[in-house]
Amino acid sequence: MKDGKIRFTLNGRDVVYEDSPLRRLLDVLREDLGETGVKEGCGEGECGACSILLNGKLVNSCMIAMGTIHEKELMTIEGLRETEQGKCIIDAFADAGAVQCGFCIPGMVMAAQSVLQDAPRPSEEEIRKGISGNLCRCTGYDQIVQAVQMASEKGAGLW
Amino acid sequence: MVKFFYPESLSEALDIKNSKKVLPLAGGTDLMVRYENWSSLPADFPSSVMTIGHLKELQFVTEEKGYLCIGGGVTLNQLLNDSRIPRSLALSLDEIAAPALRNLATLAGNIQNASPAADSLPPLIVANASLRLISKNGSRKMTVRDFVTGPGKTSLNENELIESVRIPLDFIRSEEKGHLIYRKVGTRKANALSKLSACFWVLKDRGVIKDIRMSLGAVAAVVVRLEESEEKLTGLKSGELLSAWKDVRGDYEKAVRPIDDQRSTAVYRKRTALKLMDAFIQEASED
Repeated sequence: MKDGKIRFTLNGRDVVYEDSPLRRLLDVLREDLGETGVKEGCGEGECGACSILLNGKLVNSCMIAMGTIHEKELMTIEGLRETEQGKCIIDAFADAGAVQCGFCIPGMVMAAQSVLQDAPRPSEEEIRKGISGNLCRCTGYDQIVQAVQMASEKGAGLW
Repeated sequence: MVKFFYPESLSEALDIKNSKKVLPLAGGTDLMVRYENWSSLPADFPSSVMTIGHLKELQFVTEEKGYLCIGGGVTLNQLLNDSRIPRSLALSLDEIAAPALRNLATLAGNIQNASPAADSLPPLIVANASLRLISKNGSRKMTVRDFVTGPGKTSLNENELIESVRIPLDFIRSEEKGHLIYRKVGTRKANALSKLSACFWVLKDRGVIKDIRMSLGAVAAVVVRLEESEEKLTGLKSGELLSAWKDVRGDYEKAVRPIDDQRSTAVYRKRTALKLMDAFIQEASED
């Protein structure tokens, strides 16, 4: 980053960023890179709507300064939905009725992916803990927990 | 003008820290929220910023000279996956925010942020943990208790960084032989900041109190731990604890001086803190 350029990969493709290192990753994803599946809810790390995977780990993109992501790998819902794992989770959410307004769902799907990466056959407690940083105002969580369980069963072997 | 520094090594970071006023940023979970600007504008930092979370030299958990040493760049989730940390610390870290935040936030950052409600502080202070602070000119050690001097205030010098958090191995070994209570009181299980938090530990030997430690977070400007009061309870038989507590409780009533804020009232904080202590002493008095 000696030349002031921040290089990272987003959903597998290389990106070079030259604007302020103090912009939030969330804003850059939405405004510069067109990744509008990433939502802004609270803007302070409490709702999980902006969740993405950074080097494979679930993080809140609203709390990340662009300068800290140099040479890291990012995956958003736009990338995950193209994978077998992502498709499986998204289908499970639809089948379980785990989607109402949909605003929290991209972050919730990222959290589900994170849960399944860590534990392909998660217990209910592991699922609830894994999505505990993602707030949803309409689904009621039970359907979301069911969706993750369904994804785990139907997608056995994917994780 | 606010500048952003991305050092390639720890020695470069210390050079920068030695010559410029820069705010170290590792996980950024406190700083990015504190200096958040309008959406889409860069965060509005009061000084230049230096990111250090990527530095490999701050990424370690090692045992050294009687201490478990935790590098300044180690995240809360990395620690939660490390079976060597004390159980009291694990219990507190597990209730900080939620997994996504714990993948970013560092233990050193939680200490340096010096919030009265910082959840890692009560267990670290019960463990008599210390810090290794480094600068271009060398290093020094300081207890976590002496390091945090007030809300948002620490003893860190302008040219220093937290190199590591050091937890005595003898505490970690004896912790499991004692009786431990960690309690975070908050509005909901995940993501809520603490109304208060408490870490209590007692070690007994054949019915005699060998070591008793009590710390309370978010009930005063800094964590409340009263070593002199603890000493008054040390050496007693379990059966003598309840009556001795009646004399000692007043020390804590004086020291627990919480504030009203959006999370809780001072009255609730104080009453709950003392009730938790009463319950702990009750448990400790039973064999």
